[in-house]
Amino acid sequence: MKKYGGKTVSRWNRVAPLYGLILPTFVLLLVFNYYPAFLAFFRSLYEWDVGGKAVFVGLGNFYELFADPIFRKSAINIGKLVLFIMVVNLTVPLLVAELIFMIRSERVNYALRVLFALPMLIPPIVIWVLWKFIYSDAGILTVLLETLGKPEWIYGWLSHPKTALAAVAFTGFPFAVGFNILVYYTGLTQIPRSILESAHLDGAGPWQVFRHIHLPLLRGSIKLLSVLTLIAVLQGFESVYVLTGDGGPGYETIVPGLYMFFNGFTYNRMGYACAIGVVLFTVMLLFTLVNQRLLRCDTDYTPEKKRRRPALKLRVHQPRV
Amino acid sequence: MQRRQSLRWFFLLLLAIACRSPETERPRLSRNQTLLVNLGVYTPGTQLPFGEPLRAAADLADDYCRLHPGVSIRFVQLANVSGSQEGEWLKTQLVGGMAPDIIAQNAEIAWPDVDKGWYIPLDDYLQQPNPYAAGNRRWFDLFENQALLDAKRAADGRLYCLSIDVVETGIFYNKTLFKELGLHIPETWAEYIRLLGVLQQNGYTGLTSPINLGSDWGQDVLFDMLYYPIIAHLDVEPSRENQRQYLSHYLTAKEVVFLFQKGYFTRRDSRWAEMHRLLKEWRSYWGKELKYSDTSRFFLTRRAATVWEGSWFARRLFLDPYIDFEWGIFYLPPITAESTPYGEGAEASVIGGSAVQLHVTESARLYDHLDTTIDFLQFLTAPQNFSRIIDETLLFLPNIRGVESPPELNTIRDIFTRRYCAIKWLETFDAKTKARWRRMLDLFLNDGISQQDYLAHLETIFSDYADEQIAKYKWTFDDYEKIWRKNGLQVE
Amino acid sequence: MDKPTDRLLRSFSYLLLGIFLLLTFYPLWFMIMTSFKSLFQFYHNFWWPTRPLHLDNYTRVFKLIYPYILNSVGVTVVSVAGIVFLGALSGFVFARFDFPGRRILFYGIIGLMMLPWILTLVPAFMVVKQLGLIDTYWVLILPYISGGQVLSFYLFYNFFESLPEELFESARLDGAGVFQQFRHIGAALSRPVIGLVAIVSSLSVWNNFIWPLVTTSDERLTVLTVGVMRFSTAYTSGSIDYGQLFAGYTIAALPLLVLFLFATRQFMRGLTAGALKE
Repeated sequence: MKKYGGKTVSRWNRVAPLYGLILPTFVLLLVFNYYPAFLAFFRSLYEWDVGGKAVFVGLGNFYELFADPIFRKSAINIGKLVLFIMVVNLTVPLLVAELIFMIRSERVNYALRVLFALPMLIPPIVIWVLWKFIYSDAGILTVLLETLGKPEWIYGWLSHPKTALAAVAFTGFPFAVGFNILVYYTGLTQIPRSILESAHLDGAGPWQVFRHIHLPLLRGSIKLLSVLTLIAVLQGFESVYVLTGDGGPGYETIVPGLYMFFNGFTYNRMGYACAIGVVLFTVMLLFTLVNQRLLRCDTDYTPEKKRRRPALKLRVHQPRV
Repeated sequence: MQRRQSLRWFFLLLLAIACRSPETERPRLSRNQTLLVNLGVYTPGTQLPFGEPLRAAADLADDYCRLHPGVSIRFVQLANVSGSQEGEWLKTQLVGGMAPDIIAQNAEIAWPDVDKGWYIPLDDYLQQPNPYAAGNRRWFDLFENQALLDAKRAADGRLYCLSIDVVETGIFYNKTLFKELGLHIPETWAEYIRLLGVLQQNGYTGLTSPINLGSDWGQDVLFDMLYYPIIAHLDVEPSRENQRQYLSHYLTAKEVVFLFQKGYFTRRDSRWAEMHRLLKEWRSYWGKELKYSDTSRFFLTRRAATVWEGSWFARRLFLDPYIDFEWGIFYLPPITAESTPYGEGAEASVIGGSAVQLHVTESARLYDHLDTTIDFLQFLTAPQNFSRIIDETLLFLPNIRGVESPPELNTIRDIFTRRYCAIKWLETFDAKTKARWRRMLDLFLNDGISQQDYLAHLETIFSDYADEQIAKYKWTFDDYEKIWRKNGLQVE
Repeated sequence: MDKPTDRLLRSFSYLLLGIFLLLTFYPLWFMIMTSFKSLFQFYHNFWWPTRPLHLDNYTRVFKLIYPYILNSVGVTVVSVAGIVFLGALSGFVFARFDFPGRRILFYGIIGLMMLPWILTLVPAFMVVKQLGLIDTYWVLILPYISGGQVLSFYLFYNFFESLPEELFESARLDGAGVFQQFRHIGAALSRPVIGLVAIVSSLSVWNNFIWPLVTTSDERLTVLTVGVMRFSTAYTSGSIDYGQLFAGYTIAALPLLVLFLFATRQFMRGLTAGALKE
């Protein structure tokens, strides 16, 4: 199919160095990722108490899981969280990126990007701790409503079933996620000048430019970010853990990741926890594939680009180690 | 170019630092000669918010090593004691046989794992004399409240930990504010509720606490006060001799299951319903947020009039230079017939118990120094040694005979002379039952479900628990049944 | 440009950006402000800076954590170097060459991104224990490289895949091997991606808490996240010393800040210089 070097080079000799170069990657992955992952899948078929004995139960854990009202509740909660966070974490950074992109001064523009990226350095725990203070009885939200003379609007924000989940979701405020802004901005800079200039000559206003040029050409970035966000939200539970402790009141803020954590390390049901992990994995995989289909697009506006290899474009994110 | 060159050197240097193996640098001591010890809050290096890092235990360890050449002791800090991140760490360490030899944790956390052999039972050792305490014949007798130790026995009846200290609670109140509003320390529950009402009308929160009040202290105290009149009949398991002064008529998990099958703690039990009515009424005067411990600030900024706190809080208040009001400590008044038909004026029981519970892990045996580990514990609990630890921290009361409690904690000491509550509800059950219950209780207390629904949920939770325990431990209730018939009580 | 509506729009966008910056930076400001407070100042005056400034929070914390800083820096530098190198190398191979099994191996790597990390926590612990890696630097470095190279691979793959074939043709005709092509063309062009990968993976390595917590108990191997948690452990309510805790976090963020400022310049400059364009 392709010609690499001279024609005399045999197929094996051509391919061997390639395998040699990717070998270290795969050795590491095998030891530290594939094998533990395999173990986890394997253990999802067991009733397994860490350090104790493991009993094979087949798909028993999965049957139990789908009948488990707590798991169902956690799925509903995570659904709401995913929807909310997907919307705000994809739109607000887009707005900010557009605003930055509008600024002509190279220096201000650069400084702004650095500034918005900087908060990535703040440990997330600091932000959650701060929000716990904001939501507390002595917190600013309560004091503010008291000052405004609306004591009936005051809730125990993280304890009340009406407000707890919303309170958790809102801790991302103002949702200007540095990483997302940079991705959008990069996408914007990749739009060829010529297209924008011709639009300008046609007298298109900023909204039209955004709607008809930026948005379609940013589809690649949107696709990437939506998958990244989804995966981060789906398996994240530290925020809930820090904010409401157990996903309460009742099960109002429980999420699958937290439920898995409790099963594994509090209820001593590692097999069941693994089963939850397997389900999460499947959902993420399905979403990624669907996203792939739905948002299929061709951002390939660089005319000279030649595709020779089969395009493998699965946009996904790596979990924390 | 110049910069890139120096950067390369910088990275190489870092690489060299990172790659240097700790083994080649210093020969590591074999663990057989080194005890790894965690003493909870008493672990040397613990940075209490005021003063220097703690060091009394390190000094003691030095003394010990001088007495026993060849032994060395290394202290280990555990991260985030209250969170389950520590549980996670410990679990992996225990699975791997790498845990410290001595660890401090709540006995309830260890209970589910004792049948895995991760912890060493201490009963036999406690029957031997403690050579470091003058005149001691039996180590067990060195502990002042022996019931505090016995309360931590695992389901198999054995003791896997030592309760070396006592923690107690009280209601810390803003004296200045009470004076301004003309309020007095309440004598009865009805007075207390009226007082909370006055505070609320004046824009103050009546009570706050870093502990989830409903599910923990509040529930236990209310239960105790309402059930005290019949507790002697409910308690179908004869108390041990040493429980008399402190833990008389303490209900165990098995007793609860038995009573549940007799209809108690269900919707048929009107006393139970009344207790929850009072709890919900009380709750309307608490801070709205039940989950978060920003309560010190709530109290210190004069917005909450009282805070239910532990003995440790006294030290904090004593040392705070910015407090602009006078404070005092009182305790909950008895419930009388004015509040409920079941109120018979029983004195509110104490909420407290041991704070630091020291466990010896399997590691001590695996690394072949179990005797040394026990010996070190005996050294540590000798009065002359332990008083150094207690005086340094000023957080808890000692549970060792011959150790004076610090004068700063006198008020608390007085409260502790009361009877212990008849049950610590949530500590009674396994982690899962506890979690299920607390979730439902949170929902009930935050207007998520009605009292009827809540009590119905509780019945399900209890009956699940009963089924599990009976299946697991093959409980039979014949002895209980005999005593029960003699008592002749019926649920009303 | 000169139209009044344009000017209005521009000042409005500046205003909006300013508000966003203010809100986004509040946690950072809060962290730094709090890091200068004593315990008692914190509980009595929460929202505003207080005097006197407690610089001793920093000196006290620094004394306690500087060995942890060295550990964290070492582990992060080595891990990130490994992540960048292996990710770039395999990304290059997959993006520019075809070989039997390419497709399946590709999905084999990418699929790993979707494994919830907690799923593999206990199994991974057991593996490193069997390998005798517990309480060595390797138990921190190797799994980080292994896990981190996945995202790195993906970013490099996308980048190399977008390069035009012409760039490599002449090298191929000159008979350059795969590694030479990687070194002289691929690596030379990929500085912006290196910046991106370095930042992202440094963040995750540096901030990781649970893995070092469970795999290292040796004081000499303690990394910052665990170290900060340890000394700030609060046993008593109302007494968590947030001043010292946040001073610790601030110190912990500084080395990252240095790297960030340096790598961002590379990254951003690369973007604006057109390395990703056309």
